[in-house]
Amino acid sequence: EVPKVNKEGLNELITADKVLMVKFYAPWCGHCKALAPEYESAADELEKDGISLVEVDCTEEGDLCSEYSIRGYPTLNVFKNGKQISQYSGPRKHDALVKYMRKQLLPTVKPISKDTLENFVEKADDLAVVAFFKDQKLNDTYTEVAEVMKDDFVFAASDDKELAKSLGSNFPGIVAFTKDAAQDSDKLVYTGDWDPASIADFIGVSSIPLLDELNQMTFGKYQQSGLPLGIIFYNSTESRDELYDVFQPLAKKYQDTLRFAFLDAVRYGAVAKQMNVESDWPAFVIANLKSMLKYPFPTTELTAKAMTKFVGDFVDGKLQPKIKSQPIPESQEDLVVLVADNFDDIVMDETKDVLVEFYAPWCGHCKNLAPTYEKLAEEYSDDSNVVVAKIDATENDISVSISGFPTIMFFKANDKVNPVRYEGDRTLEDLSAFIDKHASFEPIKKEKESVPAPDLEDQVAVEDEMADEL
Amino acid sequence: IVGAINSARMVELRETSRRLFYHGYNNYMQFAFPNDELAPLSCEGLGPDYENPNNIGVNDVRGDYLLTLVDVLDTLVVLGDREGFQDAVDKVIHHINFERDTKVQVFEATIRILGGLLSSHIFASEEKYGFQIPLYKGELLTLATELAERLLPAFRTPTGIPFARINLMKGVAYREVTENCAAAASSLVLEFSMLTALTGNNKFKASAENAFFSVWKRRSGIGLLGNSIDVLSGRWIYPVSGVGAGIDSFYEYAFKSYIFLGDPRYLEVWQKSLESLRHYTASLNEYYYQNVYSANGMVMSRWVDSLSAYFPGLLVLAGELELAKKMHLYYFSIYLKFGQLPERYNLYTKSIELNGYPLRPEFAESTYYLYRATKDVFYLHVGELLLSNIENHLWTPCGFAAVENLEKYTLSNRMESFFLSETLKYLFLLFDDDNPIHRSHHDFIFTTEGHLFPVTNQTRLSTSQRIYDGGEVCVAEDYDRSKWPMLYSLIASRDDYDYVSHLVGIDNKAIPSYLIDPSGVCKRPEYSDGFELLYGSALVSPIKSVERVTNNVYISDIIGNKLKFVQKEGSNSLFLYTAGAESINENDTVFLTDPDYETFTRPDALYFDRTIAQLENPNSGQKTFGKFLQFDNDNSLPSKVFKTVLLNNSMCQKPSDTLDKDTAYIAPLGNCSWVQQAKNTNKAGLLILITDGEFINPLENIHSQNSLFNWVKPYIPPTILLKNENNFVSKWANVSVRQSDFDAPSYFQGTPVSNLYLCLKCINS
Repeated sequence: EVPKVNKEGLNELITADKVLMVKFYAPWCGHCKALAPEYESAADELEKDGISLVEVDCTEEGDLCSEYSIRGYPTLNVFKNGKQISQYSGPRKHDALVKYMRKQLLPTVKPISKDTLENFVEKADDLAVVAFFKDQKLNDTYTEVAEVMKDDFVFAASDDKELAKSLGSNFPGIVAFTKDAAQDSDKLVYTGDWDPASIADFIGVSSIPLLDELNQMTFGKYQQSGLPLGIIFYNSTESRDELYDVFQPLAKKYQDTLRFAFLDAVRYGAVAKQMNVESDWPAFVIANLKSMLKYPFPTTELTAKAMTKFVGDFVDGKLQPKIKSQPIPESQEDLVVLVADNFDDIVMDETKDVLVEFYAPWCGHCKNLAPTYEKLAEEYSDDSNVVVAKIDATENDISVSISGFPTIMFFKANDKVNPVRYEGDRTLEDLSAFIDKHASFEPIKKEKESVPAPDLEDQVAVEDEMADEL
Repeated sequence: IVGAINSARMVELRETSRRLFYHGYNNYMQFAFPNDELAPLSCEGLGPDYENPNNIGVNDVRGDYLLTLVDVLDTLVVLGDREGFQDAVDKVIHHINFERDTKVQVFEATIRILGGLLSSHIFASEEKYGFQIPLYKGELLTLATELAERLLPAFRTPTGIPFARINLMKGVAYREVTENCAAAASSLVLEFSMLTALTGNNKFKASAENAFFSVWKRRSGIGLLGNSIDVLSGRWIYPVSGVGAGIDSFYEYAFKSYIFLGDPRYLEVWQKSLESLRHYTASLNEYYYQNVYSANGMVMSRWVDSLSAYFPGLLVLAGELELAKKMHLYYFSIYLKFGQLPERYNLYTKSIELNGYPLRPEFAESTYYLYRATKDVFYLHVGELLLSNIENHLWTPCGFAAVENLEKYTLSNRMESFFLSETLKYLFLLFDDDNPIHRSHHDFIFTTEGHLFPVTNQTRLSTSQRIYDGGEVCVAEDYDRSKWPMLYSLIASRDDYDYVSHLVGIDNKAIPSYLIDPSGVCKRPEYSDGFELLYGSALVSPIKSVERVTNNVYISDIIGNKLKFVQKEGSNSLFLYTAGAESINENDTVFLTDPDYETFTRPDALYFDRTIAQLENPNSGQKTFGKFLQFDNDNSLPSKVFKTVLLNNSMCQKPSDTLDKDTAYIAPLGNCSWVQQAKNTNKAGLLILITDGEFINPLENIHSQNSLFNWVKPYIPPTILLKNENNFVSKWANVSVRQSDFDAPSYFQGTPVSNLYLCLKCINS
């Protein structure tokens, strides 16, 4: 059982110089409820190591939680030698908690020798990183990286040159021991320069499983790697097993260029739409997590041969990304309907000025503008040099950055790179004046219809009628 | 819930919605048509209560005019049922007759019948929507015009605000009730404007518009409408504001009329209304909006009603997504707690205030709007729950039944038309991303009854009438993030998701755990709800406004200015959150400068522990804070040094010697009023009263003698009450009095308020 402490109890534990984790929580918090059984398991396991896990109920100890500036629940603070040393932000699982707290009893970089290497690697839950060097400067560099990444991996160092060579490493050099079964070898050798960023990058990439499940907890790793991600949608364990055999060789071959992960389509089917993939399983899509361009494989026939060619084409830069686009309208009226697939053809046409409205169909202010905008298009319908267009920015991938709906931009014929953003009143006259002001050509406009004057007279008549009745 | 909602599941749920609709519709046509409503338990039709004309619960709605059929015409369009639509239109044309001796509610007839006829006329007559009916000759429009002509006499009042009810054959009755609610009186603009657009006769739009602005013109000084109004005099009968029943669709039609008519006057009404609602009716963190007195914003009821669940959807349309999400979460929690939204939910007892669920659409409507804007799967799961609930609990062999009692789940023999025309329509659309309504390049808005009105130039002001349009936008939130694989629901992962459930008193397990971010947190609330204070009548508006000068806020007159206090989380102090029209920020300090503040304070109300001066020993520098009720230091010196004289007797009797204005007199506190003691020493420079016992509340004496105090205030010396600690007298050979930087902080029932001070100096400045 995890003891609940108040201010006095907590201070007593802190001043006892124990290694201590304190969970600040609220009983109504669902995240805390999800964490509770894991925290209890971890507490039981760590008790024999002399590490205490306690909790503070912030609905009862408000002052104490204010003192520690608690802003969210759960907050997991770690204390050592009478002071707080860190705040835990790793996975909320008991094994991760146990591993993390035990590490607080150990030095960041553990010295090893030929005799202790095997034990060190075996005990690691994830990546075990071993560096070989003699130079103090290299030690500083390595320790710097280890301090930053120690929450996730274990680090060791040795000055044994022969041991380094026996592992296939240079001297000075670094070897990462992985437990990823998909790898041919459990030793990943670093061959880059000895600088913190490159070393950290190597360790980060090495920690990504070659072929694993994509979910909320693993997505962060793929995202941080910056490498394109091949997502394999499956809807049954049998399908997954078959696909593993198809993709494992590719994952090995392209591990420095491209990463692969399985995604449960039954659970996360909504992701497919986001990735521009049809909901037909199995499916495969390569997503560039930086540019967010997507390259879906067009069928469900994920054979080894087809996948080898598809991935090879991607690496060679031969594939075209599939952009999310509504279908191109069969016919256009005065107001041109843009979609992602025809956007460049129309908007980037250097023989025309193009006014584009970026809208969202759920937005009331866009609905308000719609009739006026149609009238504007009608007004310029005789002018072949001006195009008045609109695009649903929620259903089409667009390269233009917008922060609100509607956003109106004018793409001049001779300057497509710097569209002019419209900031004025959304009336027909003001929009029309805006086009004329920025137009590259002499405007040609339709004759305006006469204003129907009787409206006001009718209103007066109604009021007179009502007055008569009274 | 078995699994995630992917494309296949979406199709399933959409087809379930369709099947449920036709279960209700086909049974209505079989058992109830041409009556107004289906009785789902007895499997028969229901019409007006001709024997009881005053049965308004029935007769307001059932006007013997094929109510359910007319109301669902455009739902058939949404479902893509061309044949059914054509058949239904044909039946309406051949069976409806408005020459009826029935008294109907103007509002209900407008939104259900007039709206249904107009919407269907547009679909039946225009080719571009794909539901054009061959040989259709505008019969629905003719019927709509006829109905509107029969309703128009209701608008002939001195205010232009219509009577609530009118007989379709005989007109407004002699001695007709003159009370109408704000919503029913004003929410007619969309339908009557559409009729004007289609017929060219402006009197329809003019009447509805005149009524709308006539109601708006009568808002209170703080911008809030009342609930019910007298249509002849224009006076509020029930001067209570909120977003619920009686007033709800006023706000809806303000914003939607702006969209529909392009008239920025309506936008201004919406903006000002929302500002007032957010300030005066919103709960802490804006999870719900309470009913308040419209004059000053004081809370007057402890419940919210289910009709107000439409408001999140309206907020989405207006681009206020964050407000919409928060409010929807609250209603979702209420829904989970009771299995439906009860008619009224008590915010404080967290129980049902008014039982029953009459199949209302509002929560489904908001869920639909939020899904369209966010595409968050959370809202699909909510819709799935709603559908499952309908199928499992509301289904009857010949239709769907309203719930009479949610605790016992007893059903009621009624299926109102809005269940088919709205509830199931919104649920169907929720699961139909590719519906023509969503895919076409035409804009539609829904009326308050869910009828589809296209937004076109037909209803727009002529060019010369256009005036400034504010350039409002809907925020494109999470724009970049929406490109990432959505592995969990952003809504279910909100940091206030669990807190909202906690407020309602439930443990929310309805959403699959894998939709929740495993590294998510619950935000620690900064404040929790406190209480409100109002001095003066609840019907009185603020006499003077609260004034802000950078980070200082001055309350110069306390009457009518609601003070809202909240509890700071993890602290023992209170925080003044709003004062009248002013919101108080973390860095603000509030000063109560009302010179008559004592008139309103009572021992159980505000208690001022005021330290305006401090005693200082000029020799040792030791300082003691004193507490007193009167101080006038009109000289410019930073402090004044007094000689000290000890008096052995209390000042309940006048001292025999003449007192000196340059001397501080120290006397034991007597048994009479301290004011009396001060009065008897009026020539002293300073009076220090020493008590050996417990400190008494000096206000206790004032309350019963406030008139005396006000009268004598100019004639008494500065007076300090002190406890006699450690032989006070022997230590203070001389005393110095220095003004403090602040006037006294305030307390409420013994609890300090961290940002509210009495400031007498501010009165003089």
